[in-house]
Amino acid sequence: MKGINEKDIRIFVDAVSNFFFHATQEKVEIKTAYLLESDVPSSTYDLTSYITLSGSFTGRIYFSAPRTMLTHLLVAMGEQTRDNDRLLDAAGEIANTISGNARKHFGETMEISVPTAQATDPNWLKTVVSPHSYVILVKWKHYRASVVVDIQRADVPLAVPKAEN
Amino acid sequence: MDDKSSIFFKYRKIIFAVITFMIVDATVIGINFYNTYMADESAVSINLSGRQRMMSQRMTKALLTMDRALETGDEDGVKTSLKELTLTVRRFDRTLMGFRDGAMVTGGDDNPTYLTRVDTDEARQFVADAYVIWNPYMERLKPLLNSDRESFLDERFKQKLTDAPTLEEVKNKFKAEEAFTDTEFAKKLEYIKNDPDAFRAELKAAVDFALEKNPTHSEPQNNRAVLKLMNALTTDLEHVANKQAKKLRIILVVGILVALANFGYTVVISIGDLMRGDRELALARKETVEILSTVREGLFLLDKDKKIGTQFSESLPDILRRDIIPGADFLPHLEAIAPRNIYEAAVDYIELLLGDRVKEALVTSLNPLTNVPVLAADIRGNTQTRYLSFFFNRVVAEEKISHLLVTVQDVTDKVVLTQQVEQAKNQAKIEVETLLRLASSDFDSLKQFIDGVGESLAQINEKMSTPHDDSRERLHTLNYIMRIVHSVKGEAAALGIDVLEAYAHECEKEMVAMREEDSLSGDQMLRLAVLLEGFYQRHSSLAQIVSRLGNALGKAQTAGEWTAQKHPFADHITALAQRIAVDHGKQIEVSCQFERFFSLPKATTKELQDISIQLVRNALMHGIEAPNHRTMNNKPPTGALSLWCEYLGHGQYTFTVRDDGCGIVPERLREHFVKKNIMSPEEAATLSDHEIANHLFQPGISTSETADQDSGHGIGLDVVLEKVKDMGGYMLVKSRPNQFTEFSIQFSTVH
Amino acid sequence: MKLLIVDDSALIRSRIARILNDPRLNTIQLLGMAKNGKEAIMLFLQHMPELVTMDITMPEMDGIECTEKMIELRHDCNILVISALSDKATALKALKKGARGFLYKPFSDEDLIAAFLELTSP
Repeated sequence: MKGINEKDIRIFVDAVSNFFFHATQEKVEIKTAYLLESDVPSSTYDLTSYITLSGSFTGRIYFSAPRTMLTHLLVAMGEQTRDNDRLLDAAGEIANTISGNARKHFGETMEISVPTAQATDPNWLKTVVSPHSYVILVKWKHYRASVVVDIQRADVPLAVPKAEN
Repeated sequence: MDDKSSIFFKYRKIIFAVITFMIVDATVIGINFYNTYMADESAVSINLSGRQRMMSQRMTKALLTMDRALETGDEDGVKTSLKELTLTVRRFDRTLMGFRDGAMVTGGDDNPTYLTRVDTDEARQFVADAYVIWNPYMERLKPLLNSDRESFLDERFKQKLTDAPTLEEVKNKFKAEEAFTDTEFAKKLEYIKNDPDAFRAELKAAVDFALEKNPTHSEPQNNRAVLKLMNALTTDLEHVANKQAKKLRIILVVGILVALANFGYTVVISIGDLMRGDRELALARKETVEILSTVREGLFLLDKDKKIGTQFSESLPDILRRDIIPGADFLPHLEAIAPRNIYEAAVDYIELLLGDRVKEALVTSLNPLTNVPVLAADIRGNTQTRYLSFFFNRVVAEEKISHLLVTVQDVTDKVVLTQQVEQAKNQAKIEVETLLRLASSDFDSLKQFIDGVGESLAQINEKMSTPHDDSRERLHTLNYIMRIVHSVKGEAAALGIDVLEAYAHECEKEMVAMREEDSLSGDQMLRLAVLLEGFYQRHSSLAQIVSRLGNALGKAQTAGEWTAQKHPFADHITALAQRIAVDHGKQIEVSCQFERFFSLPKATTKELQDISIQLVRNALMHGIEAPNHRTMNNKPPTGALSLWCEYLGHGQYTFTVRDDGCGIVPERLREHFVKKNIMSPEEAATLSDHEIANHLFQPGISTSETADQDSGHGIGLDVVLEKVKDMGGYMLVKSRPNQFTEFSIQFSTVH
Repeated sequence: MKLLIVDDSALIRSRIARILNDPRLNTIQLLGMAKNGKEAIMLFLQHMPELVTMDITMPEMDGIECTEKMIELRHDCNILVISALSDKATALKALKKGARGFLYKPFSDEDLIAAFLELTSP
């Protein structure tokens, strides 16, 4: 997880936040952030979407949310159909937004896969991401969802992370 | 020498000159004043003596006019003449007395004035001569005048006005004295009518005396003699006055000349001093200007109101990248370029230095303006972070702090270089520090510390994983984290592990700043997570290095017992390997890296453990040779066995078991398989080395000669392969004869 | 001069006390040691010392508040703040309350001796 800083992570969280804000006029709020390891919650919810990066950064960025939240989102967006496929689409779209922001932030030299979305078990993220990936727990209305950042810079300078002013 | 006397000493010439100038000036002014006063007195005397001439003539004329009017019986003419005669006689008489004794007289403007007595011998003689004529003349004139006015020659009226009655009173008295009233005239007219001859005789006596030839005088008539005397008196008075005036003028001129000379001296002295002072000042200023224009640092003085002094080094605006106006407030400039928290601390710091409470030497370490990141546009408008250092020194004048001397340096290059060196050194530093720790005796405390830090970080992460809804709870979390970080910092410092101490310090600083903000947002939790990740990185590199070096230093036992996140299976497999080695007369050193097991599903871990046991047995039975055998092949008698699990990203892992034993030798396998009737010699000959090796994974194959609890039961690699297949992974085998055998399992947790 | 040591660490307290044995500091007599702000104020009230070394982070009452109270009680008291604080702003707060100097932890013997000499000079 070396070589990425707070600003990079924030790009992804902001993307999710903006998605919700444009769709529902309600932003998501960061509740907390931590690193994924054995003794902490996996923060995997019913449905998870992700994109895979390669190039100057490699790894994946995940968005995981409960079905109820995505259903509520579809209602708020005025969607009539709210079946499983539609919910996965919504999750995928959120991952797509993350992808767009990532491209803008990191430049065109990066390859980003199309989003994948799937139903997931509660511990799924723990089994797929590198140890100490960032988990950012967010809140929209009364729902909780997570953005998990598991990427690293291709050339890894060892630097003391500095706050972005 | 104290300051006052030194000032007096410095300006003593000027002070002396000024005092002299004042004395001379006062004298001249005094003389001038006296002069004016004297001139006034002379003017009165000259004026009045001139009037005496006129009065004597008017007097004679009045006598003659009266005589003619009496002839013609012109009553009005008599009256007018009497009035004129009374006025002229009384005035002449009093004025003459004034010249003789000094007295109040009617002045030229009909107001009373004091006439001083004449004081030259000639003048006194003239007055005395006049009296010789005037006394008998007056005797003859008296009957013609108002009769009872003698009392006016009262002593009192000789006095100067100060002690005399008021000016108005004197004026009235004089008026009455000189007047010839209608009542008096009526009485006189009656007297003339009753006895015309008597009056005529009185008049004739007076006229005769006036026109009488004076025996003692060269003049034929008394009247003319008086006129002449009064003339002489006037001339004499004028002469004296002129003499006096001349004398005074000389004194005045001399005085003024002295004053001028004195003034000139003063001016020369002061200008000389001033010019010398100016030259010294100009020299000093030139030096100052040279210093200020050549020095590379920003230099300026800050006064008590925190205003920038009028002179500052030319480089100051460049360094600050701001236009500086002399006398401008410093703080707005600072506020514009420095981060807010640093700015606020700096204001406090400057206040403290300007005050006299703190000791300068004991607060310089608190200067917040060292290596301050400032944001300012350069000439091309690019903004870049530069670093400035401001140093403040008190300027003390007369035991009071008058200014702060401020030095500003652009330390960007230095800071950037330091940062680069820091970064470059970071990794090396960890290793060197660790080596030093290991070389010293407190390896155990280091080990304990590393374990403790791992636990602390896990505690922090666990605390952070609990989301909070209100910022107070978050602050609570922050305080909790700060306490842990603070204690880690303390312990790191105690053990001399600078890299962790410095990082903990860095984290602490940021957390203090967060706490200052009163409310803690979720966004800041993200910042905390980033800080925590940095901590983990440092901790894990430290842990790995310690683990490796521990092995290298022959502390395998100790080091093997722990890693940053020690997995209990490491102990288990090490013990197992040692037991097998001892049982078979072999020596083995085991190193394990099972940290990744923590992030794997339990079932996978279980499978990997089973596989490990199988591969370790296999390695000790078939790979690692007996010590004497190894020595013969130029190897250390103790074999090395390594097990590690690596994450490759995207859910891909490898698990590897490697030994430095004899390796897989296809020829030996062929012999073995034929001997065991697993294949015919022909079959064995046709199979490639690769295919022969693959046979190892057939069920019931074992290369060991005897079966024991460790191998030889014909179950082994086939089981391993089955398990790997169950996991959805695959296995790679690498080997080189007499060097190593490596079983590597690749699997994925993503399905 | 009477000195009061205020620090929650026993190690630091005994270290300062030991350094006081230096002959250059023979004008300073140690009158007591306190491990938190409350204890410090109690001792201060009893003896009104001229000299105090003050830690910042302490339980019960922190060094900033403690400094403020002491200066109220005795305006000419010389307080030396000794702290491992990472932010200068907090230390400056204590100085604004009337402390006269600051020393970073960890400090060397010579650092502390120099600070005491500076503090006791007129």
